[in-house]
Amino acid sequence: MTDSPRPPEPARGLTRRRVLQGSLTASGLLLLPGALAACGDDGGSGAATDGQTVGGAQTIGSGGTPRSGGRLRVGHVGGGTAETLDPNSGIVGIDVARARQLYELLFDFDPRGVPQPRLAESLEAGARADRWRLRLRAANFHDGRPLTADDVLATWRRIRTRALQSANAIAAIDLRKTRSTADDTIEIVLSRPIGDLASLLAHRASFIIPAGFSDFARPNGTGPFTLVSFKPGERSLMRRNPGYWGDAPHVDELEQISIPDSTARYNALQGGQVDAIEAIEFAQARQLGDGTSGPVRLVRTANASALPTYMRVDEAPFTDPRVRRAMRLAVDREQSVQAALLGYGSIGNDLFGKGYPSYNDALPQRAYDPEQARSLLRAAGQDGLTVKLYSSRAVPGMLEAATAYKQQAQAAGITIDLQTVPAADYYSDRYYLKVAFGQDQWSGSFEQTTLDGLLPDSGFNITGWRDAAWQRRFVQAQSMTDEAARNDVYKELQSTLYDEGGLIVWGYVDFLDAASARVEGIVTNPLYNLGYYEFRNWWLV
Amino acid sequence: MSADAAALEIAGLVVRAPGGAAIVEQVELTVRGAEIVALVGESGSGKTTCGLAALGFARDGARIDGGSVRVAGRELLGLGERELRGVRGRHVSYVPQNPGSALNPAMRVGDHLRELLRAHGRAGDDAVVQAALERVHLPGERAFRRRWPHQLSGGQQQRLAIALALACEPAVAVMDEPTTGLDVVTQARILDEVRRLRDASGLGVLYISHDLAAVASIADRIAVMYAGRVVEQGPAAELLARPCHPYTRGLLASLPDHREPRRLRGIGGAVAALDARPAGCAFAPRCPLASDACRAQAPPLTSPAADRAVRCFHAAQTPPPAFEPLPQRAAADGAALLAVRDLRVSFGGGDVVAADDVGFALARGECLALVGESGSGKTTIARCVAGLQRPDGGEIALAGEPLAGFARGRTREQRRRLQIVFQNPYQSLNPRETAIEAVARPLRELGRDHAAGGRAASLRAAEQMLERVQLPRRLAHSRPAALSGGELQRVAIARALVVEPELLLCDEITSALDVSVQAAVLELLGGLRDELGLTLLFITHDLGVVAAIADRVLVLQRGSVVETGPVGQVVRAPAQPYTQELVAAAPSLSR
Amino acid sequence: MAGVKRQSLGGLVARRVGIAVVLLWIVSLLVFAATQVLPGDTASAILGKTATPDSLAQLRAQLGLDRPLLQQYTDWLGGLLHGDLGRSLAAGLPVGDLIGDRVGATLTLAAVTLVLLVPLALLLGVLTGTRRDGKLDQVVSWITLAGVAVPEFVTGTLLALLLATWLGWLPAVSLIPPGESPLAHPQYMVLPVLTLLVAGLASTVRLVRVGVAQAAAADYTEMARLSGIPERRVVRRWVLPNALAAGVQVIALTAQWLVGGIVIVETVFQYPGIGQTLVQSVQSQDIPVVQAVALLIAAIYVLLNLLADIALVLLVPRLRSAR
Repeated sequence: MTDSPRPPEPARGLTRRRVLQGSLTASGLLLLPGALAACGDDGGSGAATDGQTVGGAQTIGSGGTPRSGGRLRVGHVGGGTAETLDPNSGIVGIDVARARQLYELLFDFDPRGVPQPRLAESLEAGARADRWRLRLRAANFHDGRPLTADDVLATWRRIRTRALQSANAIAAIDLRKTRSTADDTIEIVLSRPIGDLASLLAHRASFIIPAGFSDFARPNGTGPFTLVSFKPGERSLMRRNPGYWGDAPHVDELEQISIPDSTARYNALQGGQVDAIEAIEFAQARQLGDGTSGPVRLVRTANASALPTYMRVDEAPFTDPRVRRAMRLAVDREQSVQAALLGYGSIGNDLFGKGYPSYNDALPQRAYDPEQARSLLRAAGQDGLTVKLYSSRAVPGMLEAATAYKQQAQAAGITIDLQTVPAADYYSDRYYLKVAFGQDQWSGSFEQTTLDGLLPDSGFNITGWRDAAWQRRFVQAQSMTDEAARNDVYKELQSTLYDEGGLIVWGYVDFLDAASARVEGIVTNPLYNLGYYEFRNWWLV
Repeated sequence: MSADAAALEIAGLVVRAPGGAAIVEQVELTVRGAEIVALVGESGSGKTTCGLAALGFARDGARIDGGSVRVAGRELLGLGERELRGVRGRHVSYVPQNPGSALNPAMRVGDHLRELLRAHGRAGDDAVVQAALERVHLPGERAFRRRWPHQLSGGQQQRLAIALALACEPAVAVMDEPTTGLDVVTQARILDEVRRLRDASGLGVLYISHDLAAVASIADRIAVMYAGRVVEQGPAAELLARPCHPYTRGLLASLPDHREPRRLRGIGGAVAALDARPAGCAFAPRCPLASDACRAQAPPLTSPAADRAVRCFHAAQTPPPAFEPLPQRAAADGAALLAVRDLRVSFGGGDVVAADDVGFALARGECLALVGESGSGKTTIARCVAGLQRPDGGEIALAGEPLAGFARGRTREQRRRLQIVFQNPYQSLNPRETAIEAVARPLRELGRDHAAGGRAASLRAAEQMLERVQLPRRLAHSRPAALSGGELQRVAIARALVVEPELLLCDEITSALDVSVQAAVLELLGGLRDELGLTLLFITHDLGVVAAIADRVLVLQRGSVVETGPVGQVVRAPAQPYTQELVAAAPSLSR
Repeated sequence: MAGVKRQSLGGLVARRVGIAVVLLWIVSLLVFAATQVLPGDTASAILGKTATPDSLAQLRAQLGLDRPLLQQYTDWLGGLLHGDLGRSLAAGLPVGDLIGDRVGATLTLAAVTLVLLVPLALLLGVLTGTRRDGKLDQVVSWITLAGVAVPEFVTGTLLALLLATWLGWLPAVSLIPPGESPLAHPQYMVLPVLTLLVAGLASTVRLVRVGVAQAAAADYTEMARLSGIPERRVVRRWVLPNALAAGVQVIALTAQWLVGGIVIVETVFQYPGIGQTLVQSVQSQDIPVVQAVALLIAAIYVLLNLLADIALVLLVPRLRSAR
């Protein structure tokens, strides 16, 4: 199924570039959704993580009536000279953060992970979910031209022909047969049925640009801000778009500054040079205490990304499901979250997608049980097992988690031979996808992560999962339009993984950001740091 | 200043080291106008400390702790820094031992004089500077005045230092070994200059030296220092002819003299360290006449004759120096052990020729001395023989076998047969190895008979060899830091001899040693030569040493052989002008 | 030894310049070789996860990465000789445009630091060197010892903590608006310059002090004192000129150290200079930028060495006339 449709790119994406960036910015940030750290609300302020709402979306600040005016200054990790204004090409966080102010998507994920219409007015499926009717809302580009169906088709064509970021997300759209039927209407034809097309159209880099547009240095989108100035690797300045179709931003101006060094970024916030920053270190978060009082507040997003330890089910000794189960019982999840994440996270249940609607939260939470692990190993003839675990500092907390695991597994008679790889090499061809027992970081819902990791054409099949029946069942579920029914199949597929899969998802790490007490209106979103950069909703007091 | 007022008068001087130990004490010294007083002593005797004290100065945290220093009648001790500055360079000046390092490398020749003159309120114009230079026979023209110190020769640097010392016409100049490090010819010229200046300007000179022979020709009076005290002083001729102190007598006996070659007698033992000086007479431990009285208290200053002073209870018993003639040696037989033919070495792509077709032969049992000033090529030739320098051409053969250019190309046996002792024993021994280990090492690497016996056998052989070079048994397990220069050189000789070489190459082996120690080492070497039938190739700049040890001599100048022949002949009746000059310039008591 | 060859000052300088040119050429080879062995491939770094074999090949051809290495090198070197630093792979802009402002900002930071550092180092070095073991000497010794021991990023972070976060006197991060001169925003230069000064003074003062102390204890200086030259004159004419040789070398060393120190300080304070650019372009595998900045830094390094060499020859008479 080489032409299988792909949902929004899941947040795992650990290309080498991102890892390099991560390892060089002391906090080890990965610049994708889910990559800028993470959070499970540990029962403090804000909404609890109930498994139904993604990330326990939380509003930061004391609330009150929004005030208009002022300049909001945000410190980002930045991407150096590679930063771009091309909304369909941006990879690093700050590119996405800027594009989201200048341009808009057809659908946008809300804090619970549900795609909500943005430039789309409506999306209606045909009988078999391989034909859809998309209607656009009335909106104008910054130059005053109205948004039309042609702009959307032109954008898709550009993404397709140039193989840009979202190309996989729109891969199932048959562009030869898809056409506009009115200025605001497109009849979409898919090469195969897809039940959740809106999620695909919500891909983070499929911003709609005007047809025939090429001068990206002078952005022309429908977004809530217009560009004043931009210097890659340094900063940009934007102004409120007076002609915006929706609720206009509260702030007059938005300044986004690249500050790659985490200490410098934190100092800039402490010194009042910026109003909010993304991606702070665990230790800095700890300094901020519970983050609800004082001049600087902690902005914590739960369930942002999973930190799995993976076993290749096609390589010894993990070919035996009893061994895999034993390994899962040999980890003390609570202790690992404390030791590796300083508590800025929550325990996992060996599945991705915690908090998303498709997550199977009916499965019992697996607990630390070295005795049972030992007997499983004995039954498998693997008593006193010794395994090599590959780890590194590529992701904050990773090596600490591996070290904790090594200790915990001893109680089950398992000897973990820890192999520490330099951070810059960990995701190189030499190790990544080459080792049988390693660690990783993934974000996104079950269905998103499955596309990347569990299907025959998945680029990152870290566990070597090859269950053909399981995979067929997944593709079948994808075509279902009824969300509840679709999620039921997804949950059933998860219970197989829970028992038979190759993942030990011991915990989820939070996104850790910080904002001045002057900033109100931040709503966290597990896709990206700083509430998926919805700056139009923020205001200054 | 009145004609009979002393230029410099030091009385009861005490200078103490930071720890409180007296470096010099009870020093009495007088220098009159137009008089050269030589202050002679071996290293560590305190002569430089005395010299500096004459300027009211003490080095390195030492302090002048008593006594009196009068310059032209004016007491210096007790003066403030400002007043002292007015005296230094103006009434009493200083000529340093090593002018190369005592001249400011970042100051031109003329500016040195100008700065000095101006500091003392004198005109420093070009005419004055020119005159000051010309007075010491330096060129006074502008080009010379604009030179930097490093562009002068060693002799010129010393003349400039003297010009500086004389520029303000002081009453007295302290000259601290002003000719050490200069070749003999230059040294002789500088000494002439000092004499001339004394006569011309009525200058008083306190002339500090370790070399009795060198001062014999220049000094009006001589003061001998030992371990911080002046042990004897008197008119030069009288003191040399009839020393009253056993130490002076010992010094004279250890002094090599090319005009009157004689058997050298060293003084046994070594000078006690500053903090270990004995309670009584400091020389008592080395003195053949020492009695209990000597060890009980320091002898007072007595005057055995008019204008003589001595600190010795046994001054009257000190015998006059007795010079034994050198033992006659049978002429060496004809068989050449070492043959050097047409040796050529040049440096810098041929710019500097260090050896130009040098050839000589060394018969078995013979001692050949290579003599020359620095730059004559004697060391280069020695390095070629030793295999440390590859010649450009020519041949070196040992017992008929040609030797490879570099030592590593030679056989073990060849290396064993030819051993070397270097100039500086402080550098040629491994500081971490004890004396006996140092001697045993070559035995294991090159030795014939002991290699099989292992470590114990080689240590035994090393012990025997250390006895042979008369190193006190208790020092066999000491590291170099605990040994004196003479002891170190004995270890180095033992290390060379332990593998029973046939040819011993000695490169300036005594030039870093005091004369009394030098004499002892030469004495030892002479004895070993007879005993072991050694053949010696002896490199030196000192004709006196040549006369004391060598059979034949080869005189080198700028890489070429000037003259060669039996020692007696070359030294007494040199044929070549250069050799004549060399012989005439070399210091000697008998002149 | 006899036969020392005299050489004209011009000839000497020409020879040093020649050596510098050869050095730079070798550096260009090394920089090129080093960027070839950076882990990963530029094309796949740009395309990231969306890469297909086709798109990779296409992009490689577009970037000229499919040419033979030797040709890539000669093309690059040829461009350099014509003042063309290449084109950034990430930003698609000429490297010159991209780093022009930043070179200026870095040079400004370096210049301001040196202008303060050199006189301060000489002054403190001379004061402590001539009054060894005095109170000032001891205080400075302890401070500089600490300065030598603590790396720049720690010094910088501590200074930021003290002066920016706690006392609030200075901005913690040097957010100089793009396109504006750092000199127009002196408040943003204080912390970076201060950090460089603390780290730089530590080593330079010590070295100058040693040079001065050596000259002050030298035979020639003692000789000057024994000649009754007034003390101030001794310091001015005997001690300082001879300590100067050490001073020049110290300053050259410092300037070279600055090149490295600035990379760290720029990162700590978010100062928009080439050091930061270098770090970022290495991360984004923007090879042309890495090459240009690395070569630029090497060129500055070589140039500083050259200037120091020539200054030394001018200042030390012995070097001028002998060889």
